[in-house]
Amino acid sequence: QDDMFTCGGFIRSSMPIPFEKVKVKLLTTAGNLKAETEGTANNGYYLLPVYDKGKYQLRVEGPNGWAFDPPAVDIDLNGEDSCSQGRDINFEFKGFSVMGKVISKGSTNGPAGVEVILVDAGSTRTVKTLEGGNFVFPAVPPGVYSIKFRGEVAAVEVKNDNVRLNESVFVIEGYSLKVSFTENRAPCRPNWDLPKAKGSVILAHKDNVPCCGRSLSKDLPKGFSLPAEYHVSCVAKISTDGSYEFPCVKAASKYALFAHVLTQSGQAVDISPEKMDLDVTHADRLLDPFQVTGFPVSGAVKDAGGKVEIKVLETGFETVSDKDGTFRLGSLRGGKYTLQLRKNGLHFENKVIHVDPSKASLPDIFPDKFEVCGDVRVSDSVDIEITEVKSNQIIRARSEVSSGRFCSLLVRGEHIIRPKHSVRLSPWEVKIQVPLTEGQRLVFSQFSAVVRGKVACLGKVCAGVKVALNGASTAKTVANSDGSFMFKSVDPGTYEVCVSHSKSCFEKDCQPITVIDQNIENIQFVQRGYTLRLETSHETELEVAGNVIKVNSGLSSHCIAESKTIPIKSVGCHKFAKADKLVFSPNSEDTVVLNAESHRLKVEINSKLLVEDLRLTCKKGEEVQVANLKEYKKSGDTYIYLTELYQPKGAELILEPHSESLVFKPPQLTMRMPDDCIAIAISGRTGIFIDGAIKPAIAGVEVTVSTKENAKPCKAITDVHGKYRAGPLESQEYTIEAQKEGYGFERIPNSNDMTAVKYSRIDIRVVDGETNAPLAGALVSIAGGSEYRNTTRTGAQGELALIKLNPGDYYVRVMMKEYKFEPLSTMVSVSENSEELLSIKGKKVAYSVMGKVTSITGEAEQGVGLEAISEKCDRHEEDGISDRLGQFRIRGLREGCTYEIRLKKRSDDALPHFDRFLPATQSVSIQRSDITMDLIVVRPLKSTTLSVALRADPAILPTLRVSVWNGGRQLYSHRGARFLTFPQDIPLDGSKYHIELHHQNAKPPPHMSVIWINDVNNLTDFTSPAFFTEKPYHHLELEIQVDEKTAAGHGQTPAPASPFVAVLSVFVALAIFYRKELGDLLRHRQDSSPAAGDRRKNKSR
Amino acid sequence: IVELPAYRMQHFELLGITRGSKAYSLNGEAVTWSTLSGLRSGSGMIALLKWSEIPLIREAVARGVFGVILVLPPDSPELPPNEDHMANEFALFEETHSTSIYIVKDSPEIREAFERAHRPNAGAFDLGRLWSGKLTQLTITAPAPQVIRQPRLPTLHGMLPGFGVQEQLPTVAVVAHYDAFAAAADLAYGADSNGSGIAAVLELLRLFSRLYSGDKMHPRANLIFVLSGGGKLNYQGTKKLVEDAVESANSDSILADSLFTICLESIGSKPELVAHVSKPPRPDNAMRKFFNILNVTGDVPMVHKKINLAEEMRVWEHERFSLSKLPAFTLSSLANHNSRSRMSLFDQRIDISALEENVRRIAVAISAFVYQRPAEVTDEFFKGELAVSREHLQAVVDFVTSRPRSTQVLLEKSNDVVSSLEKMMNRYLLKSTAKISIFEPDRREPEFVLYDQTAATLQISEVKPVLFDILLFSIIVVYLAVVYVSVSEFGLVVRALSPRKAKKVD
Amino acid sequence: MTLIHFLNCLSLAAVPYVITYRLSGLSEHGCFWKCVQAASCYAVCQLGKMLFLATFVIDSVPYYGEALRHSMEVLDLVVLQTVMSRGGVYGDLRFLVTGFSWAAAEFIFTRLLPFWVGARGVEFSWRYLQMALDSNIGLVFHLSTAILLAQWKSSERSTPLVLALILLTYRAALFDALPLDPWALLAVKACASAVIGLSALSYTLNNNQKGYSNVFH
Repeated sequence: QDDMFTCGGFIRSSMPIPFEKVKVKLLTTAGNLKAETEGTANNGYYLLPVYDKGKYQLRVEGPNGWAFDPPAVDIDLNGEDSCSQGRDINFEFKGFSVMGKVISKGSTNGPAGVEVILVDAGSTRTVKTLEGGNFVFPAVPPGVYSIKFRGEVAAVEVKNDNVRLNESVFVIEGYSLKVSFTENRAPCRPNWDLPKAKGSVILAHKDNVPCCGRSLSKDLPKGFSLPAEYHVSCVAKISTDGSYEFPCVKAASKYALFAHVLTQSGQAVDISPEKMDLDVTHADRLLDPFQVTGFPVSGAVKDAGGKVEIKVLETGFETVSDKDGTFRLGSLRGGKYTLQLRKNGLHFENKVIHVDPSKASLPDIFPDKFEVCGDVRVSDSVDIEITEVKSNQIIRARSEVSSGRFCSLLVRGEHIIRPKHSVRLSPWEVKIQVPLTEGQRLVFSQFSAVVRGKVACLGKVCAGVKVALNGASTAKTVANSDGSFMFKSVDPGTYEVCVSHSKSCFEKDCQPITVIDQNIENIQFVQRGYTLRLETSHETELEVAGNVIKVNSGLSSHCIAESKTIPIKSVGCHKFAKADKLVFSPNSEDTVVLNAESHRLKVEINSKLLVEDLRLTCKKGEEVQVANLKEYKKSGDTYIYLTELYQPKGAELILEPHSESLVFKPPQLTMRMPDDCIAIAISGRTGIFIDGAIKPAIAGVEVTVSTKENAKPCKAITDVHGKYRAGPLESQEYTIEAQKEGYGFERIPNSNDMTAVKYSRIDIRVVDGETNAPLAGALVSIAGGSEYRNTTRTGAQGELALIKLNPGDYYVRVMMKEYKFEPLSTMVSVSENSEELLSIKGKKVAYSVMGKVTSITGEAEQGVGLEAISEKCDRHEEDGISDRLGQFRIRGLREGCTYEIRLKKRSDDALPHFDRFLPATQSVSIQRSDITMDLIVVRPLKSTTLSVALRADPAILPTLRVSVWNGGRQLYSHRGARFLTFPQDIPLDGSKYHIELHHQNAKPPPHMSVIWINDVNNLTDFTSPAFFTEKPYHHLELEIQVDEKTAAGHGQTPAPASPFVAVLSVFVALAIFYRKELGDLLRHRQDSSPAAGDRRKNKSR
Repeated sequence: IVELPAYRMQHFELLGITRGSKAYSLNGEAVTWSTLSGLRSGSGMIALLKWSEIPLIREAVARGVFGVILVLPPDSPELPPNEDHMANEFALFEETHSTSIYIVKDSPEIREAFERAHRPNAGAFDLGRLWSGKLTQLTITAPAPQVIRQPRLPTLHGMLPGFGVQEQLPTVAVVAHYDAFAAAADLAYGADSNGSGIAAVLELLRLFSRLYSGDKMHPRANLIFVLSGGGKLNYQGTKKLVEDAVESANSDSILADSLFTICLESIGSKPELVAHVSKPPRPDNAMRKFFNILNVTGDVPMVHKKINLAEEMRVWEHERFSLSKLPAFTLSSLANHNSRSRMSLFDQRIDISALEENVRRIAVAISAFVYQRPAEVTDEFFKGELAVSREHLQAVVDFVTSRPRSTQVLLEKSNDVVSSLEKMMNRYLLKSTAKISIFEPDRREPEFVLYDQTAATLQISEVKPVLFDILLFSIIVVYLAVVYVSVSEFGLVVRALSPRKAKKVD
Repeated sequence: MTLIHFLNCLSLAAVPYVITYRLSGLSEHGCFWKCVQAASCYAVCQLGKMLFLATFVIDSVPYYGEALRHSMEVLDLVVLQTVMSRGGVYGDLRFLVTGFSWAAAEFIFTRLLPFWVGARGVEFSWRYLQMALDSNIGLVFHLSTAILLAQWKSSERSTPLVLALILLTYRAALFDALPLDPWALLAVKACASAVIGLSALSYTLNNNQKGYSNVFH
């Protein structure tokens, strides 16, 4: 049985209206119609079945124009809303609607936003016209009304439908044109400043359109001529505040406005803009004002030399004065302006001037203040006080940190300059006359001091005491054996001198000093005793040498005025490890460690009664400690019993107080021993029992007694005499309830007894009209009597038992998807203690599509969302989902419509995502019977297989390495081979993968191998074109040539033989060739020289 | 000198009949048929024949030709290979040849050799032509072909286990032989017969491995995929696999109790399928049911060819199964068994879209049978991610046809085709790997004998005839005589040149 | 092409040498060793030339290489001269011995090997016949240079002599420059050799009254 909700309520109406004409529709958020019903004739009650949770909208629709309040209600069916709670959603009929139209003369539509008033006997209602002039009075109850618009009145009578007024009743002659002054258009002054000026504004139009109404004349002001193509419509005078108005202008387009103004001296003032074009639509118009552009003004700056910058703040006009200080301001109109003047070294206040057309020049302007600067030779920024002698007024300035320079603007006259600094500066103060004479300069400088002192130690020897001076600047030193110490060149300022020593402690650790302008000699420190360093796990008190010191947890150090070793005793609530061996020794520097082994647990039990047998059992794991509490303390009327337990940290304890006459709260306490001492309290009170009876005696009634403090209520069953007994209870206030099938129980006031009343009942059976088969899960709603209402489902056999009915007549109404019950609702009258049997027959009107969703192998697929949509029957949509066994049922499909069954796109990813089902779409037309249909669903396989074919000469194949990368991550790599399939499937997540091919010995030379892949020329490795994965199979052909370019070149290029050697060789050859002549030549030379003689002789032999 | 690759004619012994020729090297003057027919005897000559002149080989040999070189017709791109070329190729194997026969691809050099070898009037002896004309000398020097010792033909078979207990589930086998056959061992590319079969088996394996590993898509049936060796040598690999499966007692392979076996051969030429069976299946058995399913996506005519027990040569691979009483049939685009393109070197191209269409129809039929679903549903099923991948088919066909695949070539050590196919199958077999059954011809009388030396290089050089040398010799003798005389009479010249008046004084 | 072709070429090239050796009386005077010595000088000279060329020829300067190579012929002349003068053979046989042995050495070193390799190979080509004829012409050229060189030594240097010598040394360059096909080139070479040979002969004859008739009887 799928669960089913119902939404119902009443259509209320103050006057009788045909309810059956009013439809209540249930729409999905997407606007698809889910269900609709009409109000019942008699009381306008409507009920709509809803089959699954989600957001819907209940919309009431009467015939066009009927107004309901509220027109629609959004419901979010999730168990808490008004429908599922069974509350009524009512719609109030407000009335019919009255419609009409306002038009402007000469056109079919009129102005929007014009008010129309509806008057009936008592009240009036106003409404604004919409676009084009239409107006609607919604929700007008039937009766006689009159409609008023600008003085015209029309009568109208509303009977049982809407009323429309004919158009020609309300006509508007023309509209008004007015000028509006808004801040942003006229710059900060009223745009009109010519008092007693005369001016007028002329409205003209190309084709002659006279103004309606008769107040304005048409003759032009003298001295003004209209451009040729325009004809005057009418002329309006400009009032003193610059405003003008045309009361009545016909609605037309392409009007033109001209303005004409004279000063009192009769000059024409130039106005901008020249001509304003405007269209008059069906509404009054606000116009921009005309602006007067103005006339020039001049002035001079004295005693400031030349080049002063002058700026008019209002108009933003800027100019510079020439060397003798005169300047000219352009295009100023009458009124007040502020001038701003600027020159470095001088200071001008803003000057306010009055411009008047009569006087064109301004009064002279003088500078107010002069700039004075000086230096302070100190390494930080110093305050300087400048007091003016005449007015004794003090001005403050500060010197800059880095350069020590300061400047200030001073009024003319005598001033005294005094630097204020913690250290005395010299000179102390200076008197000057402003403005300064040329070459005058101000300079200030500083003083430094020496600090000395002595430390008094216990043992007369205080070597190694560290002394530190910290303040503006810090310094550190160590006191020598007699305890004295010294600091040199200390700048003036406040400091603090501190001493510290690892073993001893002093009266005062630090003393403040201030250095002004002399040295400091007499600093004294006295040693008080020796330090004790402690490290405790818990905050506790210790007793050392008689005095008790409070130690908080963690590291701490204390000053003990003992010079010999003494024991330490713990006083607090913790027990420490090795408590007896804790000892303080002055000359040892190591810290004493205390960690607590166990803590004290204080238990308090208070009770009103004096009890003897009070025992407290404390269970820790198996070990049980029993402490019987004897001694007690009496405070007021309660007795307080005390006990103490010492337990280690983290122990799990179960404490249980026992006493015959006491009830304890809490009866049992389980706790974990925290890491500290703790105290707990348990309170005990006396127990109470009650008993009562049911009249007339009925056995087997279940009585539950529950007290306020949410303890568990105790239950009791009445015996054959109807008696019961319940307890023990803690408190006096308690409530009693009794329950039994078919009986109502009332409690007899201030006693424990109850009276029983037997209800009358109705048994209902719902069956199918033709087949007489019981209809399980049909929704039966019973309303009747004053406010009784109950909707429940029929059981498996179509039966429903209604008990606990008060007498009265009841409306019974049955609903079931796909069934129509005739009559719609039947009326049953119930008398006291009576039993009625009612059988209702239903006729099947809508049918459903059911079947099994399986995978291709026939296994059931759960959670497959299916939807059936029929475009023809106004987008009626039903959906269903397959259950664990793959069964699905789409209900409520209307006969005669053809529906298309489609996979519903499930947004949440939790369910397995299906993307196809076979056959792709199923269209089914509903005849007079249910349809079964089996569907096969295919799960997507989002992965692809990759293979690579390497075409290269077999020799280099083994030296290659192919790897697949995704982003920066290498997925897989393999030695080169002619055909490679990669073992893993690559997920089809659309991310980018690419293949890299590395050539193993492509190291740098001796010989470099270059791999060409298609066109990518890449030295060592290569990246294939990246491929997106969306195909189930990817294959890449990679063709590789390897060029063994011998980079080393062709061995040694021979050292270029120098041509010289070749030429020499040729000469040698010639010499040999002509050696004869050479010889002759030589011999010839011998004749001439005697030395050669003998050689010639032996040669001739 | 010009060098061309020459491919020795297929040389093997099958069923006692030797095919191809024992001779291997040749050397002699090239002569075309037109010249040869003019000469009385062609001894010492090499016949250079066009492909269409194959029938004339017998006469050429009769004329005592020393060897034959066949020139392949120019490569033709259009798909159905030229019928009479193939017929000629078939004719080559009519009888064994005594002379050595080589096949050479068409190339400008060989055409040039043709012109030169064409001597119109060989008879007349004319001095001019003798002097200026040249002869074409063809020489092939190659070592003697040896018998390939104990050839081991591997057959790869792997199984996709169904959902449930393997033994009780129905089993279907898909088989395709991976070797090829052609006139020359080095030209056996066999794109359609049976590159298309290999691609189909691997694509079906890929698709069904996705289904078997998919969620809720694991069918209740076992699928066995077989790539058998020795297909062109009377399907020895299949014979061994079947006999192992059927006879041996402890055969773990459940091929023995397969419902039926689909053999795939040459399904890459046109998008039609024809079923060849040894005997039409009984109406109720699984094979008939499969045919009905197959006919849903387009009619598949059934061709019935009884096994001729007298003859030893099997014509279809399914006959090996039928002999061992295992129901089987062959799906092919070829209409009958003796179409020449099954054993031809012209079978180098396939129509990929036809192959894809055929594979899709087979995949739809198998899945309909395995999921017991109507074919229309599974037709829709194989779309989107589960569509047949044309890219995979093309990749496999390109790979297998990139190298010759005749058995001799496959047996060479460096050949990686079989190991790559094994790796491809392992890639898609889910948990198991491909098992290998090896066929070895028995020692004493082997089913077939293969010879190596499948290729050599042909050298073409121009040569002068012997007569030319003799003529040249005589000219040189004359010249020498002249020189001798001139040298001996040199004195006359000296005297003629010495000055008149210079008499001998002393 | 075949062995026969090799024999043809060999005979065409070698027999004229044998004839000149036999008939010119070299065999009588037993100067076989002189020839061998001259031949070895030829070999050394060629070797030297090659070494020199290998070290000094640079390709950068365009025509420099060829010019140098051709001018190396001068070295030949010089060596030829020295061999003649110191050859230890007197009289008019000197020029014959050196010229002949020089040509024979050249034939042996430059022609024999290509013949053995080329002619014996399968492919027929006219190239080997042309080389054989070329070596004959070479013989004539060498003889004429030898004669002229002899004159050079004994008589004054007349300009025609120098011109002829230069022509002889640069004959290889000249022939290379001729854009003729092989057979025509051979013909031209033959005529040139005849002309130069005869003119050299007549020149020597004119130059020295005592004839050389005893040499060529």
